[in-house]
Amino acid sequence: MVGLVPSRRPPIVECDGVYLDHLDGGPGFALQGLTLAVEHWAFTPLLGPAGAGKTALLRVLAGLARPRTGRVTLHGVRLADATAEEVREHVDRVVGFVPSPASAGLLPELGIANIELPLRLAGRRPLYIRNRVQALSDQLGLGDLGRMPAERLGPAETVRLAIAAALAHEPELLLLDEPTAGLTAIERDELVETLLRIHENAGLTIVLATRDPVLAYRIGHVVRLADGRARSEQVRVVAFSRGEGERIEELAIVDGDGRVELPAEERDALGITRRARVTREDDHIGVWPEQPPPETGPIWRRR
Amino acid sequence: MSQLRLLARLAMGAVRRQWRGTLALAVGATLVAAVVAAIPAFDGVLRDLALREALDSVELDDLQVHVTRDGIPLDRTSYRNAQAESDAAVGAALAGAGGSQVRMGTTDALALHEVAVADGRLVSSLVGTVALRFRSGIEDHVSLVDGAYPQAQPRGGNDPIPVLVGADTAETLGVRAGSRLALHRIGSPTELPTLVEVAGVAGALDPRDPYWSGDPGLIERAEGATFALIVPEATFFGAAAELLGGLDASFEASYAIHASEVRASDAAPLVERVRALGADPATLPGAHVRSELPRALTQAGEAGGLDRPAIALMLGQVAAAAGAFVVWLSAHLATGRRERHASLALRGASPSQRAATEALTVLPAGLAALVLGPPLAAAGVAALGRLDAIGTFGGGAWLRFELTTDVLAYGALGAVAAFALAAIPAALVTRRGAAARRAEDAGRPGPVVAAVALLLAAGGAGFWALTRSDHLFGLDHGSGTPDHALLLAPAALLLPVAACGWWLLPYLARIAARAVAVSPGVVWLEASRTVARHRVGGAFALVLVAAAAAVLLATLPGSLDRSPAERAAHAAGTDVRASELRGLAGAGESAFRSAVATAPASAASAVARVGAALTAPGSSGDPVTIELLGVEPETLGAVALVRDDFAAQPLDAVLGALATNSTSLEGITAPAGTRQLGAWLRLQGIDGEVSVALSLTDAGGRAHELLLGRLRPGALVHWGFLAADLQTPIGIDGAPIGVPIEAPLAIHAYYVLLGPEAAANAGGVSFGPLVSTLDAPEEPIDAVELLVPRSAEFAPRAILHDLATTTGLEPIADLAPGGTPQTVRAQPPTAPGSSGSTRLDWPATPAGEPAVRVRGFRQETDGAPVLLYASRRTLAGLGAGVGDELQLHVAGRFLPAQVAGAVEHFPTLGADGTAFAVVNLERLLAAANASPGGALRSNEAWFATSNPAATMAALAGADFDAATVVERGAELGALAGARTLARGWLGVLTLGFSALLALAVLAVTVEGAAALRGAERSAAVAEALGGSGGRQLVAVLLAVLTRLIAAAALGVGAGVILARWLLDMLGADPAGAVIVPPPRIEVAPEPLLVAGVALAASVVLVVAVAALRYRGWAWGHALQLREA
Repeated sequence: MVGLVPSRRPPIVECDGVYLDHLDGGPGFALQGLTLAVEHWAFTPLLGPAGAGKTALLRVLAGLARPRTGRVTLHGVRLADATAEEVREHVDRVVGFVPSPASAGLLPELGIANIELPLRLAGRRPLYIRNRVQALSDQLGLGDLGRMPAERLGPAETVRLAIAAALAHEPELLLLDEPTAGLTAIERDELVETLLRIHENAGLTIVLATRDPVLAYRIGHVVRLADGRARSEQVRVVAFSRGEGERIEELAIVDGDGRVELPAEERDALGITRRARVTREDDHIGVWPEQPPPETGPIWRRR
Repeated sequence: MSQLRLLARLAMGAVRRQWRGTLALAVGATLVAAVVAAIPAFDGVLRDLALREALDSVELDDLQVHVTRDGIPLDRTSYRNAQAESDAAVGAALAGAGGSQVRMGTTDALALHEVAVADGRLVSSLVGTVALRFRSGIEDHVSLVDGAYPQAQPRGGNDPIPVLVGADTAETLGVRAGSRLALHRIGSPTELPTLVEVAGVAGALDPRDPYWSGDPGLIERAEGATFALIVPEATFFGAAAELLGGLDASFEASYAIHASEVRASDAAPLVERVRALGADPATLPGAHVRSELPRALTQAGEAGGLDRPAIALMLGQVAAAAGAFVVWLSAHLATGRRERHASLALRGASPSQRAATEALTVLPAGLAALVLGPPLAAAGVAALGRLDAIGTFGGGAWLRFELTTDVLAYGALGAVAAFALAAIPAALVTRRGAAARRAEDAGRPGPVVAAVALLLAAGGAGFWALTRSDHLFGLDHGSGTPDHALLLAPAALLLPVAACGWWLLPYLARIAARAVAVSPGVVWLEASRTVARHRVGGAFALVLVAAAAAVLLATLPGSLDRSPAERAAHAAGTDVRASELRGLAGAGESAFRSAVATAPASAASAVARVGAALTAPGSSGDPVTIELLGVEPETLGAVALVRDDFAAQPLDAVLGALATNSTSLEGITAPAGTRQLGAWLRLQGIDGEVSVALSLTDAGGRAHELLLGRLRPGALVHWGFLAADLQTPIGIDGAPIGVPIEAPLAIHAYYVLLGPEAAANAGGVSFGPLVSTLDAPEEPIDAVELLVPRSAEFAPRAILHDLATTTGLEPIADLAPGGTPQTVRAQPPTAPGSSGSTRLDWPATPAGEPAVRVRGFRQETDGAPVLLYASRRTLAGLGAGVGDELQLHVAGRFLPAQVAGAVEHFPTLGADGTAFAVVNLERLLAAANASPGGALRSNEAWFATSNPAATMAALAGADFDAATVVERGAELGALAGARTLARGWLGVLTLGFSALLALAVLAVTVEGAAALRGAERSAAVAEALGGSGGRQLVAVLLAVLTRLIAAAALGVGAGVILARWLLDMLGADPAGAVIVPPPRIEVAPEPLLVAGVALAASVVLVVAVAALRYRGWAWGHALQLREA
């Protein structure tokens, strides 16, 4: 992935050929050789329909699911090489996760205390906790909640509270699983604004799973998922020549073994079925159908 | 600390959200703790009961401590000092068990002189030695024969000291009220005598009163030949001390204990302390301590019964069932907290923090168990006093119970176990991954299945092995100690069944669901599908276990009450039974009883044991041969030993009913000195040899059939007189009786004995006067060849019965099963010198029927039937019940009988399964001996004796064949143990049954609520899709009911059928010895009814809640569990 500002640091998330069993124990895989990289400080929407693997990917990154095969590197740590305890500690430190629904990340009888909870569990000092809660409340507009428990909050407030709770321990990566589900358009826009502001101010890496293309494209460059694989990434390309500014391109993803997936509609359009002819040119690689389409007559003739 | 507070706050949040479930969990945990705490509590109570019972049968004197001090100067101060020392030492030894106290003081002996005037001089002669004595409270324990109780005389003076003397002493000394005696110090004859005056003469009011410490002679003699002169305590330390200054005295204090205050746990220390009193000279210097208390307490404490390990094993199984409930419910609730834990995990809570939260979440249940468990156990155990079998000692009141350290410790142990059982699975459930949970939900076989298979295999192997050997578990028959391995039978039975039900039933339900899927009934289809889909049937299994255990336990009291083998083994008996009276063959009842009376025994009772048969009138069935026992209701109770706890009817009740059937056989009396008996009679139409005889009892109680004459065929067609000389009597068989018959006599029957042919034909006899004389016959009657009767009677004579009427007589009619057809009519006075006669005619006997050979009259009887208690086997064979009339065939007589009751066992009867009946001895002898034919009499005697060997030796001397049937002491000990055992069983079963029933109800309610909650979602979906939510709810209710019915059915199967099979198998001990638990199972209906009602009530509750919820009423949320 190419960011707006090219980074010299390795990506905060690197997935390569990740396979993950379905969470419900059903046949097949939730992730099927997923390859993906997320750079530091990026705000990456994962866009895809239900069953595309968005939640599965987030759960893998949140340390809640362990891939069957493949390589997942999170903030420099290769999860497969670490023990469960090490993974848990690393994830707890690096990641903040807002599940779907957001209430699943909150204790229903607690209100603002949900923000304190991770800090107190971590044994942070009261003063720090107070300041941190205050700061997050301000950032997310939670000042009016008072002592109201989470179970009595509206959907938007619940999401904000869950985000605040997820940010409490100052993670470097915030994972959001369909945070705008069930919100009105206004609430959604406000939430996006808030998230963008946080991203900008905190220098946070955010990965947000959504089925809403409008939301995804509003945020920035989108990773499209389907069938447990990352299909494409949108990148911003900055041209320095006159008359050209920044433009966005959608690129296919090449995994660590050099595999590229051709979208089904393209294959159908070109008549590529089981095999394809691949030719290497000077500046590109061409993919052709194995045989040109046969000459076919009209199916019917006019009298 | 702040971390802990945070975790506690989180835990409390969870508890608040699941308060109903947590409440149920607390109940379960409390039950676990209570059942565990009940182990020492019940053990203690049981032991206390056994001790109290044992102490109740101990002589009261054995429960006293006597402290004697000799050589104490006769003054109040010395006495008080000695008394204070004794009080302090004994009081400390007896601790709280100390009771009343009796004090006694006795002076050294004084010489009693009689002063008389002889030859004008005063002559003093020594009569004997006496001692002054006081005994506290004696005035309440003596009855005055003469005079009055002496007044207290605190000061000495010129007046004589008033004293009380025993009646025997007064007689020996020849004194009475007002007599004066002069007492001298021994060795100082010249000293002025001390005068005493007899104020009264008295005897012990009740010699058995424990006040006398077993020696009512205390009022008579001080020691040896020294007479006692009783004075009030004030006199003893007043006038006597003054007048007899310098004399020494001995003091004795008798300390009784309150038997009811002695706890079994304190008995051993108490024994040690009392022993130390006598053994350690430093404790009471110069004192002699005498007490049977240590021996009595030790023996009482040795009574057998359920020991603590046995109680622990049985109640432990109940606690395990309660623990299973706790595990299940805790896991159920933890499943509901799974998302909460996911949230905590997301917020960075470490596994240990989450586990701690779980632990804190179930902590309230643990605390409830800790706080409430022991008191609940206490209440439960105390309430056992309301049970008849246990409350005998407390009059049905609640048992006294204390929360001892033991009970609290066990309760704490149970609470900790319950806490662990709740916390550990909760933590495990929380930590388990989703994939593992779903794999489990999908019913994949795993290690649990392997464990179940192993369990089943082990159970099967165990049962197979049991069928091969009685000694697999080292059964210790006859010892009276419980077999611990056998006590685990409920668990061994129920675990495989529960596991089987848990895993097998869903598969069966699935098959059923497929089968009903073809039917159009959607409700049934949904119900069966719900059953099949409900894979994790934790509650189901638990209900199964609880129901099965409850049923099993409920059946065992029935087995205890009704176990024939058990009762046979402990049937009853007596110390010594004497039978086979060789030396008294031919002796009468009086001789028998005289011989019996010579045997040293505290009580004796005569018994007649004879073979007999019973027939139900109108029944075509065969007669039932029985062993018939005639008993004396008045005396049998004193010698027979019967286990009331195993008897359907107490012995007293049986004997009481038999006593109402008493009668006597008086007969026609011939006066003392009678030499000859004679009778006038005439035969009519009898063609055959005829013997004329009297049936009588002589002065010695011996029964005789006295031949008056034997007639040739055709003889005596006119009136003739027959007579017999009692000096040379001849029996009905024609043989001389051998010994003279001594009058007075009781004549019971006057009859003719016909030859077989004559008996079959019609005929008649005119019976004339029955007479006697004191004169010897003119010519000897010493041969049976006297077939020609005399023509004239002897004179002078006495008419014993003139036969002009049949007053006091009745025709003999009980010598044939169907009665004897005959007619009786009065005739004119045709016999010489008679006022009339009575003619008896009979028809010819139909062919094929036995002819009645005896025709005549016998003394009139009351005609009442013989009341009998028959064995159940007897009655079953006859098809008869209580109140039915039967015919008793005994010694050739056919007597009317009536069933007064049924008994399974009776002393010396029924142990080998023989049919028997028990009747009143008097009634039996009277009814049978009223008619001619071999006389019945007592042929056994039963004795109660403290020295069986001596009794047996004496009986052997009287030619009795005596045998020790039961040694009363040993049997009483065994009975005490058995009663303790029975009480123990009853208590354990009651406690266990109550706990399991509570659990079952709770489990059904929780399971029903959970199922309803799941059903609500389905109903909502169904309604949203246009279906009927109500129908869906009905379907789920049907599913719940199906599971409950299946659980109950399997529970009954496990609890009754398997247990019956196992215990029947173990009960086949040929020795008939003690088997614990007893070998036969019979369902006790009351506990089952309680269980059924309770379970049905919980089902109704669930259904009602479902209906309320469906109607949208708030009460419908009462059972909300807040599942996940």
